[in-house]
Parts: sequence; C-alpha cells; structure tokens
Amino acid sequence: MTRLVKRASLERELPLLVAGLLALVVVALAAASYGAVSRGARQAAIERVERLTRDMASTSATSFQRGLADLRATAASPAVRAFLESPGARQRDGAVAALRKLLPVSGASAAVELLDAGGREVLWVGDSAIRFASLALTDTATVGPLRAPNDSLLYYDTQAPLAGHPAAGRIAVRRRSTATPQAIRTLRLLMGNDATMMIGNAAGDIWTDLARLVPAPPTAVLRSSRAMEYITASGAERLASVVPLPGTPLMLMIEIPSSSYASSVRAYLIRIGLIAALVLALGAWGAWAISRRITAPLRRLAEAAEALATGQPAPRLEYGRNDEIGLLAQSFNTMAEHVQRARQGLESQVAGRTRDLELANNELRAANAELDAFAYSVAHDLRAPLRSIDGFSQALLEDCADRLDAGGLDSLRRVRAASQHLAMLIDDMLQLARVTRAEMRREPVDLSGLARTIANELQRGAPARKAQFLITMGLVVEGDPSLLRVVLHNLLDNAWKYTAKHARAQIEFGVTKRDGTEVFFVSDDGAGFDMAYAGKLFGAFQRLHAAIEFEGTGIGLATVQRVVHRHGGRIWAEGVVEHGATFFFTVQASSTVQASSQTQGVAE
Amino acid sequence: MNDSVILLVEDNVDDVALTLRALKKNNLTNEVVVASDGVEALDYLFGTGRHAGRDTSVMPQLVLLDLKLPKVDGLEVLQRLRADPRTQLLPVVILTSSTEERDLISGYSLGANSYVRKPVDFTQFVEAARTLGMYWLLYNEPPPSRRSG
Repeated sequence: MTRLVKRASLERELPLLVAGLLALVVVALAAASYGAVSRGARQAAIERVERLTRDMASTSATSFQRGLADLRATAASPAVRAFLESPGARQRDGAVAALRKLLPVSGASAAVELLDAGGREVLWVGDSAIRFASLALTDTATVGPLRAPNDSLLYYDTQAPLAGHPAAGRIAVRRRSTATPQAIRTLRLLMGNDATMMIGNAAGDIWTDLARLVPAPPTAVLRSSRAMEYITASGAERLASVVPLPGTPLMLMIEIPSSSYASSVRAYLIRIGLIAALVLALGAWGAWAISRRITAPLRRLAEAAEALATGQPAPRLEYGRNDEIGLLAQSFNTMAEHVQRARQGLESQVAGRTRDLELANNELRAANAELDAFAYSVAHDLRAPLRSIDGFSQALLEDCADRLDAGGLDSLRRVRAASQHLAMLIDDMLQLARVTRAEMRREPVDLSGLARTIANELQRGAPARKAQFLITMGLVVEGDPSLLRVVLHNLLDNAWKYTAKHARAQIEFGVTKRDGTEVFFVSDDGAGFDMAYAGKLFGAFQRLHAAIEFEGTGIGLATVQRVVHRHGGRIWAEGVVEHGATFFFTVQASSTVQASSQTQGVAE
Repeated sequence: MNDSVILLVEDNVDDVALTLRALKKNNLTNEVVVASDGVEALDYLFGTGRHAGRDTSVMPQLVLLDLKLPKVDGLEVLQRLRADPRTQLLPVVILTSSTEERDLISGYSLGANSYVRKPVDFTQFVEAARTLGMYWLLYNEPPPSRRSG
C-alpha cells in the first residue's frame, strides 16, 4: 500500500496539468492586457501633462499681458510725464504714486524704476534687495528673460517706453520670479500633487521651479512639441511637456514622475496576479477533486488486486456508479470470485493430493521397512541351509567317497556347484537391493584409484593370466564411493571374466568424448556380444551367455545400471562377438573429470 | 593351548556340526563349548542359570559369535560382554551369514575383534576356520587373565 503512494500518481498529475494549462492562459492574458493598460496609462498621463501645460501657459500669458498693459498705461500717465518735464517735489510725489500702483498688491518682492532718455535712473520704488541695473530691452513693451545674479536671487524685468516718445525714457518693472510657499501650495492643488511647474528661459540657461534655481531641462525636451520622458541628472524618470509663453523669451514646463502612472499599472498587475492565483487555485482544486473521483476507486481496486495476488481474500468493491469505473469494479468482483473459487478448489485439491501422498509415503515406508527386513533375513537365513547342503555334500565326498560310484560323486559335486551358484545369486540380489535402497553420499571419488585396486585384486586371484590393464589415472567424480566401487567392480570383473578364454587380454578404463560430453568406459577384447541383444544387457537375470560358458548371475549389470542412474548418468554398451565389448557410462553432468597421465599394469 | 576353550554361540545345529568339522579338519582340538542362544552364552560366561557355579575365573580363549540368535541376539551378547569387566577384553569373532553394512558397523562399534562371514562353499569354510584358529589360538597374545578377580 505504501508502494502505491510512492508511484507516479494520476491524482497528482491531473491537477498539475490543469494548473499548468491555466497558468499559461492567465500569463498570456495578463501579458496582453498589461501592454494595453500600460500604454493607456502613459497616454492618459501625456494628455494630462499637456493639458496642464497649456492651461498654465495660457494663464501665465494672460497675466503677463495684463502686466504689460498696466505698464503701458502707467508709461502714458500724465503724472509721470509731468514729473519728467518739471521734476519738482509735488510732481515727484505724483509720479511715485503712479509708479507704486505697478507694485503687486500681494506685497511680493518687486521694484519699479523710471529711467530717462539716457537710461539714467530718475525714480526708484520697491524692494531694495533687487536694485540692480536694468537691462536695455526693446522700444516696445517687453518681458525680459530670467536673471539670476546668485542662486537665491531670481528675477525678470518688464519694461515699456514712455508713451509716444521712445527717446523720452522708460519704465522698468522687476519682479522676483520665486513664488511664496502659499502660492506654490495653491498651484499644487490646481495641478495635482505629483506635478511640478517650471519656468525658464527659452535659451535654456536659467530655469526655476518657482522656489529656487533648477537645472534646465534637456534641449530635446525644450524643442519637443509633445510631452516626452526624460531622465534627470539624479536619475529620476520624468514625463514633461514644455510650451513657450507667447510674447516672452520664457517657456513653461510641467512634469510628473513617470512612476506616478507606472504605479497604477503596477497596481493593476498585482490585481491581475491575485485573480490569476485565485483562478489557478480553484482550477487545481477542481482538477484534484475530479481526479480523486477517478483515482480513489482505482487505488482501492489496485489494493484489492494486490490482496488477491498475495492470496488474501479480496474485498468486494462497491462504488455505486454506472460509469466505466463502476463497470470495472463489477468486472473485478466477478474475477475475484472466480479466482477465489479456483484457489479454494486448488487448495482442497492440493490438500487431497498431500493426504494421498502421505498415505502413499507411509505405505512406501512400510514396504521399504518390510523389504529391509526381508533382505536382512534373506542375507542371514537363506544362506544357512546352503551352507548345510554344501558342507554335508563335501562331508559325504570326503567321508563316503569309497562307497559312491562315479555317478554319485558327480551328483554330489553338482549339488555343491548349484548351492554355491545359489549363494552367489543371493549375494548379487542383495547387492542390487542394497544399491537401490542405500543412502547416497556425495564426495569426490577417485575412479582411477578404485579401478587400480580392483584390477590388482583380480590379478592376484589369477596370477597366471596374461591380461593387461590400461587405466587412465586421475579420473575423479562427485558421487557415492561404495556405490561407484560396485560399478567399477562389476564392469572390470565382467571384462576379466569374458576375456578369460583368450590367451592374452587387454582391459582398459578411461575417459573419452561422446557428443561433447565426457564419458567413462571400460573396454575389453574378449568374447564381446551381438549388438542385436544390446538392449537385454542391463535387465536383471538376463544373460547373453550360457552359464556353462561364463559363470554369472545376470544381476551385475542391472546393479551397475541402477547405480549409474542414481548418479544421474547413463550407461550403454557396444560390442562385437569375439572382438570385445565396451561399456560407456556417465555420472551427473556437473561432475568434474580430471585426467592426468596414463599408466598401465601388466599381469604376466 | 589345548586346554583353552572356544565358546561357539550358534543356534543352527548344522552350522555347529560344520564348524566343529572344520575345526577338526584343521586339527584344532580345543574344547568347544556350544551355546545355542544368547542367554545360554551369557549364562556360561557369567556362571549363571544352567551354568551356575561355573568357575568364571576361567574364560574361553575365543568366542565365535553368531548374530542371529533366539532370545538374546549376538549384538546384545557382545554389548553385555563388553560392559562387564570380567569379559571386557575377551576376544570375540563375529561369525555370521550376512555382510549387511549395518551388522558390520554395529559389530565393530560394540567392540568385536573380528568379523567373519561364513562362506557357503565348505572348502572355503574350512580355510576360514583354519586361518581363524591359527590366528586367534596360536599367534594372538590373549589379554591378561583375571583369575584373581
């Protein structure tokens, strides 16, 4: 179950997919609308700045015109002319009064100067702090440029020639171009807090924000007929609009920081982002809910299937749904029932078979025990009477030989031979039974050494025979030593027996290759056999030779075959009558064969 | 040598006769005491039952012991012999029909000195008796007797 959680999960993938798609859509929409919104905001800011600039310029121009009109009127006033014509004390008072009318009612810093035709000061009224030499301007009423003798003193002149007589003199009015804090506050109320108004010379040398001297805007801004952004010396971005004040050498500029409209765009972006996040969250939640509706039943189905696979009873799946999932659950339930029924059937079948097997095993054990007891008793009891038959026959032969004729003696000898043959038969049968029942051991067995020992025994038994043993040394296999000894003993004894009638004999034990596998062989050049009867060689009590020719019981090769089979090997024989026989055998495929040198033993 | 006794433990009268004949043919003239089952063999050796009062300080020089015996079988006789200090060292030759592996193993593990299979061929039997007699009665040095015990 924990494995399920760690796997790739539809339940996670579907919401992720939906959220991803939604995010794509939202980002595309936001990007598109952000462009439009930011363009729109900039456009609105440009329009606002230009409108403000136009309005303020027109207000300023009107005020300049009014000032010039007042100046022209004063210049034409009789009181001024009268003073210039006869500068007495009374005329002087009249002129001063006329001039004083030109000073602003607000009491802002200003001064009025009356100059004669030679440009000399004749009368001076107003703020003594700005009592400097006035500029010689034109012959008409004119507004002069801003001047700034130092950083804190900023002013400009307007002047007009005395009426009708340019050469008669002129009146110059000088005003501080800074405004009072009160005036600036009023202006801000009018324009908006973010806007700043500046006035300066069109020549671009002196500019003021009405409070102090400020750096002039870049030339590109001054020359542009439309509002444009620029970057101040301190790195701030501004949107500015400049217009010339008609009839003056001055220009008026209004600027706002670009951030004042960018911030509204940012606010929009944040709003959009919040909405997008909400949409994404809702979308992901919805997708998760839908996928859960699919994956939760699937998960339970997977758990049930796993339970079924591990042999536990699978729970019934009840989804109460008519869709594909419901159908799947129904099919699963049906399948689980089938599997469970089949499993139960199988289990009871296995239990039955196990019982049968146990019974059969018990029977087999009993039969084996009986066979054991039988073999044991045969070994002991069947031989005893034979001993009596043979022993007393011999006693007769010895004790009563003089009373028996040749026929009687022969009969007694036959009795003895038969009893000895029967004893041999019993021994061989017991051996056959033993190799079948014996517990198998597995250990390295030196077949060559065994063959050597057996050959020596055989040669000792008949030292007169001219038989030669050729034994390949170092042949070692995994197997049961006593059983393999039975194999080699029987095969070598056979070879020895069936070469007995030849004057000379050669018996060989070695290893050769047949069909790519190592095969052991025992060969002789003795009586051999007819291949037509090769199939009968290994059957118990089957003999290819008459007992009179070669003694034997017909059990030896059956025993050999039994042992070879118990070692997982094969045995077969090839022979030619009077040209010898070869017995091939293998022991288990995995057994190791090591062949080293070849030695030969000769018995003369 | 002739005064030493052979105890033949054998239930088959034919085998008794043949054994005696084989011994005689080899001129082994020792007295042969025959016990026809395990109980009688033990009675003889320990002076009990039918043999009560026998002088147990005189022990046979050789015991020829068959394995398949009525009442108490040969292996048990051997076991009892080896468990008793009086017969602990007695030479015992198992003389029987079978060469079943388990008999060989039990015989030797219980302390048999030798294990001989009775051949069917009487000629070989005589030869075996000769060899046995020569070895155990002539050449073999018997264990020190326990006359005092």
